[in-house]
Amino acid sequence: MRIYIALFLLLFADIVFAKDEVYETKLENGLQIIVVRNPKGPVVYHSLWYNVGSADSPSGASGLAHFLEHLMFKGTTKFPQQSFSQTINRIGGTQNAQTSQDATIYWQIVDKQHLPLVMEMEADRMVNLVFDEKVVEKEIDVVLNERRMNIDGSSTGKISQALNAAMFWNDPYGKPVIGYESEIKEYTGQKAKDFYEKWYTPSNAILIVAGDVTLDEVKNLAQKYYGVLPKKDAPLRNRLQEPTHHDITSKIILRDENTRGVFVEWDYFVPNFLSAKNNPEKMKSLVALNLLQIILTDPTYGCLNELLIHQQKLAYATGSSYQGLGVSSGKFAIYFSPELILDVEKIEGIIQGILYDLALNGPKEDQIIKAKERYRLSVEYQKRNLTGLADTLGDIALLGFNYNDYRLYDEILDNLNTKDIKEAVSAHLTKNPAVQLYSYPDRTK
Amino acid sequence: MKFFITLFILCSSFIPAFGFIDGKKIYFGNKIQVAYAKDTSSRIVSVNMLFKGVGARIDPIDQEGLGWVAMQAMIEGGAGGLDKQAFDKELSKLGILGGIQVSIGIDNIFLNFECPKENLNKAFEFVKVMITNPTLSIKDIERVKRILPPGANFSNADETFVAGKILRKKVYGNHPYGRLVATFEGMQSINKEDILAALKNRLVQEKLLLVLVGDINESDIPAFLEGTITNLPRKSEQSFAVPEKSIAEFDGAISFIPKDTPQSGIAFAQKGLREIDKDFWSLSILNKIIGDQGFRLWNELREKQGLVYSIGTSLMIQEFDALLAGGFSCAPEKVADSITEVQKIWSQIQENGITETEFQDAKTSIMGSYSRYFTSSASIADLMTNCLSDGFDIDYILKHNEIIGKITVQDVNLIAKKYLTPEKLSFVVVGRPEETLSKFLKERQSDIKTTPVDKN
Repeated sequence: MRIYIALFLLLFADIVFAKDEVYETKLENGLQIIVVRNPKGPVVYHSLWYNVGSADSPSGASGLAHFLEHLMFKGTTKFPQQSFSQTINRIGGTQNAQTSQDATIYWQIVDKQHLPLVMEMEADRMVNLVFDEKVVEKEIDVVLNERRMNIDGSSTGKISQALNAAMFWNDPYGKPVIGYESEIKEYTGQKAKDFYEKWYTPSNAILIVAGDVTLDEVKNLAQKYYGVLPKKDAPLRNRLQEPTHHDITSKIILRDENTRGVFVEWDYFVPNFLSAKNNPEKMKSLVALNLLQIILTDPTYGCLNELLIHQQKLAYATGSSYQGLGVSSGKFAIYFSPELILDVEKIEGIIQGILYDLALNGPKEDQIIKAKERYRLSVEYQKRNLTGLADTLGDIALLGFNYNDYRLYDEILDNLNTKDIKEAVSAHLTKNPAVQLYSYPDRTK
Repeated sequence: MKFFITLFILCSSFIPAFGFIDGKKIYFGNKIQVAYAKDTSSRIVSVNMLFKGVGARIDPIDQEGLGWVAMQAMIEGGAGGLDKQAFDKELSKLGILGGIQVSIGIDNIFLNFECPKENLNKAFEFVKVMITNPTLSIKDIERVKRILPPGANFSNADETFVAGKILRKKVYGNHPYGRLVATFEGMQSINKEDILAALKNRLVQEKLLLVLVGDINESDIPAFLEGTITNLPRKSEQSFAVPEKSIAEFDGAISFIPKDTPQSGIAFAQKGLREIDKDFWSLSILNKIIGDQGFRLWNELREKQGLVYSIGTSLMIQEFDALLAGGFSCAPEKVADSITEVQKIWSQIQENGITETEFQDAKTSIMGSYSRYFTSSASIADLMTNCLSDGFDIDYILKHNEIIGKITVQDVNLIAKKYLTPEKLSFVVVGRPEETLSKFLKERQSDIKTTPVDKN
């Protein structure tokens, strides 16, 4: 009997997921704190997430949020000029920052003993940033260069700028995160400063620390460095609304001398997770969209992949993605690269057919099991890194979700069945796509 | 005495408490060295397999590249009756999303992959099949022989890289460490039998160091390896010559190899130390102060004089020898001045040592960056692999910062005096001949080569 029990425990231990240790709290000035305990070694991930991104940039100053992210490395009175980066280098750490349409994130990975120092510096630049017009001028050139490299000089950059512009007619998601060249040239220190003072405040930020730390440790340090910053409310986001598209599909054709293959993408408007807050039924249909990405185009089990790449050999790449973790509308994308340019229509017909079949009959039980397995596997792969779970929790925390919602998502996923996916496809992916993009190599040049 | 005690206490505050400490080294089947560490944050296990001493250095003289071709042909052609695509798909079904990565260096062969714990036994079964039953079609073998590994490919390589390779050849001569992982000439005669023999003799239990990091216990390990890794050949049927120790020769000369390029590439080197050598960490601090961004060479040649865009040094370590080597690229007319500056700084440090600030900065950075190894199970596995392969016990990982914490500026200055050899610092310049440079080389009576860069 005893052996039996031990054996059972061993088997059970094999399938149970590693336990997450996640803690959440808030300072009086409104700074939200998330601690992901992960005692791999004496190292911490310290990250500060501002709930403001490029889509919140003022009209006529597209990309200003991204420009401010650059200026955040230009120094305060206490840590002047390059000393932020120099200090991180000196202590053997690593750091960077990212701006998206909805968020701006600053992060460092340092030896645990240096956590107080990075907190002190990060808290300092939340309120004490210096705006020097000379530095601003120089940095405008840096951003213009970055834009030339990543948008104007890159086919994927051009594609993504064109896709977003066609998808969002009025919503600021239609503009590139880095901004338009003519508007970048008009940035001033004052514009950046106004934006900074408006949005950079403890109540509009989330501090996420992962590593060999406890909630108490982090909270005490955060109180010392961030807790002394004044409480100040950030304005409510006031995004321009997207008008109805009257079921119109915009077709974009791009000819680029720098691309070799053909690339086709379809984008559909779908709801975002924010719209499903406290609405489990709706949430189910969005979780279904997440699973659908895997069912369609997982490299090993995706049905589009299997059919188009392996069986019929019509395409050499397929993919799909559900972007639902934003403030503005969600988007579901399906894309492929055909082996031959002549096969584009044939492939489109096959994709259409698969979508209708899924809307009518749903996926097979086996497809769902495999897709759930793949999803859980990807979560496990994320968690093997110090930053994996922390970043996922950051993404959802920006939208006001917490760790419980994360677990709830898991539960919904566990119970998802054929009917749920069938209904999600039928509701969201049988209408016309909002955008169809065709990128061809330009052979005229 | 009192001074020493305070110093020790001060340093001990740097000693980190490692969370993953539950790791150890065991022997499996009396032959296989296995080390594991328990990391419960995920059910993905990171696996490293290092086959020690069977890298390119044991390739026959007339088959430079045998190890490389064997590894490439093994992974590129599928195994166990499956073609590459089907084989990769089976790996993916097991949850091995990154595939099995294989690489070969001068000393060792290295395999690594990541896999969910519950499929580890099957994963090792696939590793076994890959090693013992690879497809090796003639077509795949011939295709592989047309590709050079990145570290031995001179086409498209920048001049500094080329200069570095030539310098290695110069200081190591015919010793295996002067060789490249592969050459086209060497690969030419390799056939299927050679590859099969190489796999059989190199990927053997006796040479294996296996490192596992994930949510595993010692008691799990037999089930992973039994019938899989234990079915690999136990030992090589061939015996391989062990390279001689510390044979590098430094004449302090400047060798010039003409090549028509806008920028000239310069490499330089003197004798270095290996991790296992007594003064390694002091020299490692010194190396940082000489050659890292924001320190001596960088500040003088780049920031102050604008001679170079980038310059750096590093300790290049092999099993039996090490170099303290560096490189930079600059305009042809600045080569002479740049070399003079490097030599000057080398002498200055050798004679006058380093400052307390430089010392503290270098030490803080080395100790601080060490903890970044602990950001993923894969990098923890790499750290353990390096540590054991260098001949240390696993607890060396925990002692690392303690050891560095105890080093003083006096220690480093002693090392600078003892090990830096400005007069023997050897240079290789690859670039366009230029007037000031010709004059400079003549003055230094340097050894001017007219042979162009290697055919590779």
